[in-house]
Amino acid sequence: MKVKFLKLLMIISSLTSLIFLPGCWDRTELNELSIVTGLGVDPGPTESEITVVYQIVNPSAASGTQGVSSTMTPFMTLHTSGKTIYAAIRKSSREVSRKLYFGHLQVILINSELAEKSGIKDLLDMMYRDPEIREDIPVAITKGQKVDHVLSNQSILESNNALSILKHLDNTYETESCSRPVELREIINTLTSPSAEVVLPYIALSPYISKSQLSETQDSSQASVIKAGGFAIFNNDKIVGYLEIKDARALNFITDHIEKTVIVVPYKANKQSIDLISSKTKRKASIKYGKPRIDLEIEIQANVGEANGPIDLTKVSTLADLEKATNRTVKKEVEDVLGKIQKEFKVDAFRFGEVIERQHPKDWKTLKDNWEKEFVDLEVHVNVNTKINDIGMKNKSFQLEMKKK
Amino acid sequence: MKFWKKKKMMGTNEKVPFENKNEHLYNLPTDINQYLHELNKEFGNSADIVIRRFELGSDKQISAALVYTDGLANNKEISDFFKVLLKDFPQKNITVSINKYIQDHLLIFGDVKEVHSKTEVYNEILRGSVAIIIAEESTTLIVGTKGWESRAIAEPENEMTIRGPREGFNENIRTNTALVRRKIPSTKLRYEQKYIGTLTETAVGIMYIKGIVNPKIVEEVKRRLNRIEIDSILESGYIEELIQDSTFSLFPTVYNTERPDKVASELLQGKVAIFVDGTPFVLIVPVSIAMYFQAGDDYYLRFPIGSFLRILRIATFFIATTLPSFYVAVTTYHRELIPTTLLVRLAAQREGIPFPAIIEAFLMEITFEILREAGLRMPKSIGQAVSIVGALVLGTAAVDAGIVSAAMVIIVAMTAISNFTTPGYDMAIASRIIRFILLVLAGTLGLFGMLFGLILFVIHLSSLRSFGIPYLAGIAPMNLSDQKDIFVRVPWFWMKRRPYLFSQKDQVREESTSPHPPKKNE
Repeated sequence: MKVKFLKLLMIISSLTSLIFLPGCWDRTELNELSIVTGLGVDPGPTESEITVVYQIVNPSAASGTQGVSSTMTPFMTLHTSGKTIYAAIRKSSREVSRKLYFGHLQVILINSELAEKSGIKDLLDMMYRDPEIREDIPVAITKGQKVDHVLSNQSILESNNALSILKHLDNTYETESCSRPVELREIINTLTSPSAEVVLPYIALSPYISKSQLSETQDSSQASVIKAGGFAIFNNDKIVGYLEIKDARALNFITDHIEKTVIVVPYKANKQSIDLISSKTKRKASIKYGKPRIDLEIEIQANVGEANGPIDLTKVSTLADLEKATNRTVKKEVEDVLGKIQKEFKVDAFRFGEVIERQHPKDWKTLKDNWEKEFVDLEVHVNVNTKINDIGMKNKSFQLEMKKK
Repeated sequence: MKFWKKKKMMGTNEKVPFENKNEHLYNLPTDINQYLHELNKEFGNSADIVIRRFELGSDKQISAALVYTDGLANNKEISDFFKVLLKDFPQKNITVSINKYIQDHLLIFGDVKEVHSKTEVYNEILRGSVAIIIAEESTTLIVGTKGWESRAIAEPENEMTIRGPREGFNENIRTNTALVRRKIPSTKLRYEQKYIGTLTETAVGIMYIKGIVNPKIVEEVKRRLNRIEIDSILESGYIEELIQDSTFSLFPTVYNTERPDKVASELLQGKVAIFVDGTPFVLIVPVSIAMYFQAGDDYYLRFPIGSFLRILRIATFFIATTLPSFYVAVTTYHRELIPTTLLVRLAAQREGIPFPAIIEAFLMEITFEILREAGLRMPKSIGQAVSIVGALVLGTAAVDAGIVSAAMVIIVAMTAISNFTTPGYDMAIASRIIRFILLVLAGTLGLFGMLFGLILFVIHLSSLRSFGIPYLAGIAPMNLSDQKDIFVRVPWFWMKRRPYLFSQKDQVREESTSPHPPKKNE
């Protein structure tokens, strides 16, 4: 009886100590944290240092009823410098009264200058290792501008700038597919891959509203908006060049990352808009006499979005012609980019090496060592197959019945 | 395993008697003077005990007396039978005993019986009957003239339904059993009664339907009731605590209700009802956790609505137990789980709040519990004051003063409202206590603590038994047929069988087919 009682006492006391001994070691109240939504890296004041930029939410200003309170800024942008990222982040205690919290980080920005000169490999480990930062955070390059400058810009629609950059990247991907958010995890995977090279989207500020349109209370920094650009192409961890919007879309066609886009097709001396709904690219690798070859089969499902000129869309032949014209346009776009990357940048941004490795693992073993050279001479055949499904709410273009003057 | 052992143990005993002992003694004095003297001594000349002496018959005077309790016996009934007794008493000699003659020839209506023992006489007098004592007779005649003031049958205030009978039990045990008997006028409906409490001698009855109920459960109920040795039973709560399986559990293992329709429906599922005189709360055993989420409405309203409401009730039960602790755990430990924009809003509200979230939650929860208790105890005329103060304190003032955040007020209000949806009041109060336990765990260990607590409760629930029936009957042990009436309520014509564990004797409830318009060949 006594032993049983002692046992019970021990169980109860150990359970009670479970409550008190951890001492709530991980407990932090919401008002003891500063929520970091944007993190960026700029070149430091000296050669051996880097500057880390953070965007911190000011909750009471950010959650006003109108989204943005007029008296306080909804966020603040800080920067600290140090030899490593971690050291720089620790210095933030001199700038802010609260502990930085990275659990809700929305986007990571890297200055293009830094990525061109010293590379990104030394910046990523801390972000990849830290338990608070998620692995699926998109990373972007700020082209020709300091991250500090880009993050300080007050977005007009969104109260939080980092959040607006994230939405911006998503939006361009989902509606135009001329860029693509690339996650932190993907960068690490690509860097460790033997053949593939990193491709990152870039953004930049550009003037939008002229000064005269601003009211007196508005900050002049609001005169700029963030614009999504195309892709920054890396060789290993350094940028070797940039792809503009149009070329970036072609790269997405090759890597099968098209969500939705509009293809402008010349037809009968007019420009038609083909609204792409879905696209699927099949990548086939074949080896002939030791030479690799890639076949791209692009299957496009589309609608007619805009039909200009006297066109009768009720005729099957018109649609067939439009389909053919679309095929030609896309094929040309894709071949241009293939040439550009193969001849100019000479890096496997399309992940063709991985395609060959998967489909012909034995041949890959011999190709692997000389892949950089092989890639430049790689034979790529493009075949586009468009299917137009829908022509919208009208049959014939009204221009068919317009008075001829 | 324990369950089977218990069942075996229940099966070993033979039929358990369910009546009071020492009622068959023959110890009444034949001398009327001595009898009345003893009566006087026993009652200590209590002012409300009326002892009235009179003479019977015109030529041969027979000494007799009437004894009853003023207020408990109906005066009009007494004078009625007294008239008959005096007017029609025969002049000539009677061959049989006078008591027998009165019983067979004069008072041939109503509840008249002969008793032999003193305790029986005393008890009957104290329960409102009249004792007729006649000289030289070895027995005493008892005439049932019970008639005291009692509350009318009213709608039960604590168990409301939109659709369904509006009657509820009152404090009179006879009225209560009649209410159920009227719903199930079957010879199979059995009722047995005994008196418990050495001083109160409270009538306690058990009711069940023979053929449906598991007889072992009836035996077990009787055995547990027979075991009670207490001076007083003032409410069915006394009985409940003296017969329940697990005293220290937060979860109730005996159900109580004020609704005759609820009792009837449970009896029809093979359960046993325990009636206690002096209270409108009738106990039902054995119980399963599903019972606490079944409201009468589920069965009276159309089935999709009934099912929806039941799922809603189960969901709100979880909200009522876990919402404050979940909020505290998530905002202080696992902020990653909150969407960013919501987190910013919550952080803005916490700006300038002096207490940690856990203290804040405790403050508000305790305030609400105080208000709730005050609202319950306060006289109805000033009850409105409580709601005004409550709305101001809980709602605006605390937030305006910056002592608690508006989000916490929403959480507490949501919890409070959710708590009222559980039909079984016992289960609802259990959830109030569990909420505080989980709150402490969430505030110290985060979601891990919360889950730790919830798992402990699940383990506890699966180990609970109510009269040998597992508390989670239907869910664990799983029974497919029982699922028709646990989380949802399927149409009646699909519920062909009664709950499996409760009514092992007679499983089939009905043979009806689904309603349909006449077919061509019909």
